[in-house]
Amino acid sequence: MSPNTASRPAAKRGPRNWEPVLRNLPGNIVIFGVLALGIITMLLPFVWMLSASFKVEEKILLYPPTLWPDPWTLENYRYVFVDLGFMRFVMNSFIVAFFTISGHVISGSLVAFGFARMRFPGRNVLFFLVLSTMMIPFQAYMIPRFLIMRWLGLLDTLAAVFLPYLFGGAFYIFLMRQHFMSIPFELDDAARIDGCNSFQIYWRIAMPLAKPIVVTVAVLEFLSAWTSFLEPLIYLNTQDKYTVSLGLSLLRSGFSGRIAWGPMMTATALSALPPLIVFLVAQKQLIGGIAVTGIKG
Amino acid sequence: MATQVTTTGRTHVRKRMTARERREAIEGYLFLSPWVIGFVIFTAGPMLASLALSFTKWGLIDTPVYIGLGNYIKMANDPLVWHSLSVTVRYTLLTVPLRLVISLAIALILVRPIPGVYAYRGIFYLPNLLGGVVTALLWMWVFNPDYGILNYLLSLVGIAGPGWLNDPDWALPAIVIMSVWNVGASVILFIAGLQAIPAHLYEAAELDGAGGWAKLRFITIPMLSPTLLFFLISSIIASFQVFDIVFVASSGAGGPMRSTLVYLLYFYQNGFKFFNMGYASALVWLLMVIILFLTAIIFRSSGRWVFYESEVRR
Repeated sequence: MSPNTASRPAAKRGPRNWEPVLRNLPGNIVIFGVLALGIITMLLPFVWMLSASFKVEEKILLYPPTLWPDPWTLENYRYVFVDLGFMRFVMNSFIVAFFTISGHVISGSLVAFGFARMRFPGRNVLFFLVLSTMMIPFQAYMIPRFLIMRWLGLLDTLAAVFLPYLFGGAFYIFLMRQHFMSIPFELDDAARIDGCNSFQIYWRIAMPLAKPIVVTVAVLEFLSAWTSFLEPLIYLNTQDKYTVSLGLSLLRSGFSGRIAWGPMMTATALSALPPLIVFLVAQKQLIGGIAVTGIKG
Repeated sequence: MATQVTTTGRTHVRKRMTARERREAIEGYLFLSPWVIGFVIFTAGPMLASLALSFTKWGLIDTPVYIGLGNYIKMANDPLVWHSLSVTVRYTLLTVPLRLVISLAIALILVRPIPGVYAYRGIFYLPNLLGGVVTALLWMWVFNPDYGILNYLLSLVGIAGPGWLNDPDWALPAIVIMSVWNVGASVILFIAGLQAIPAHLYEAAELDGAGGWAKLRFITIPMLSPTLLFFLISSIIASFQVFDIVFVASSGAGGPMRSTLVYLLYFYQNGFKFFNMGYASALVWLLMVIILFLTAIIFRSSGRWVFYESEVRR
């Protein structure tokens, strides 16, 4: 059995049972009112964004506003893909995400394995140090990091954005360590008797059993890399190096002082698409991770 | 006394370390080495460097000049430091309680087995996927005073909506609304906390005739208090570090009329617009001290209001 910790005692699927709902009708009307209001607030900005992305400019600047585009147009999408070169930003973001995910998975799992399965002096102190780095705001070391990247000649390259994350990060190390702790130690002993060294135990036993947690790390890190803004902002200057969030801020500043709402909402909608797809595909792995992070994002 | 025991214990271990144990220790350090290298080069080293820089005056192209506490004295007399701190505190005081009440209310609803509950949880989580930039752009369009949908909806109920992000009085509240829109992660956190409360407590309370309010007040809130502590610390820290949405919504200026000039935006302007690297480093160290101080206060007070079940069992 894979020792996946994500499964919960709660039922997997909500029971389709209206009886308890009807028992306390007035209270439930209030509850469903709140719920409906909340869901509208969550979804309306998305709908409003999509509607603008399919509208012609004259209809966007119309009062009273209309939700349904009339006529429908793909001009905004053409502009974003062709004139703005949005796919370049998407590619750059994917490159950054690929490297940060690889770094967190490879380096992070090695470190996590060391903390979970090896005995050495100072282990607890070092692990406490790892955890305490989660409390430090990025800005605390942002300026010297910028100087390091300048010194390395990496300014205005994507490498500057992902390089520090090739060495692993505290939160993911913590997640993977918890997972490695749950693998029975008898497996290690049996493997050692068969002549495996520690690295082989990591690679042949621990990692194959860690697939669920690796997926969780990959998903969380994809979302985090995709939406990362401050680091690309300080390192990247030329437009063809921009990641998606920087490309978006380009539209924000507008042209000749006026914001082009149609293209801006189109690019916004497009950049929301990859996270939404990842969320729909990997919802289960994600929710397990969120319950731990709580406030991430 | 306690330290003495551990030191002797440690030397004891070191003496008795067999060849196998020594080998395992070396391998252990090798496993840790990626993080150690990254930590030294990209976190610990830079932190010390930024502390050192905070005692210098440096414009990036000239050589740093040691000025002692000069930057810190300048900060105390810089009205924009106090202004940006006050904007950040106001932002925090609005965001954290609003987020707490809203996410707790939604979590209390979505922890019940109502039909479609998993879909609702997903919907509430959606905004959290987007990040600050997309959130800000999306809401700028909603808040647009001339063509935006929010002021149109307000006009339907007879309210003349404000200029939101163009209005110095309403820009910060607009930023608060944008950021509270991302309640989903806290909702999930609270749902997880609520699910961990044993059902027998509620059953016992019902036998004693407790109503809904009494159950919330005397079971849910105390049993949820460890989660609340975690929420408070992480969301206050996050609020003090608000940057992305304000940067995008105000084009990096913190306007209108500096009404949204949050602390880190002022830090960013000093570092990467005016290139006062020394002063910016001092600014960020003040923030670190403030965050540390707030965390310590919350932790110290938590003994009074956070309830751990294990304490009773003991």
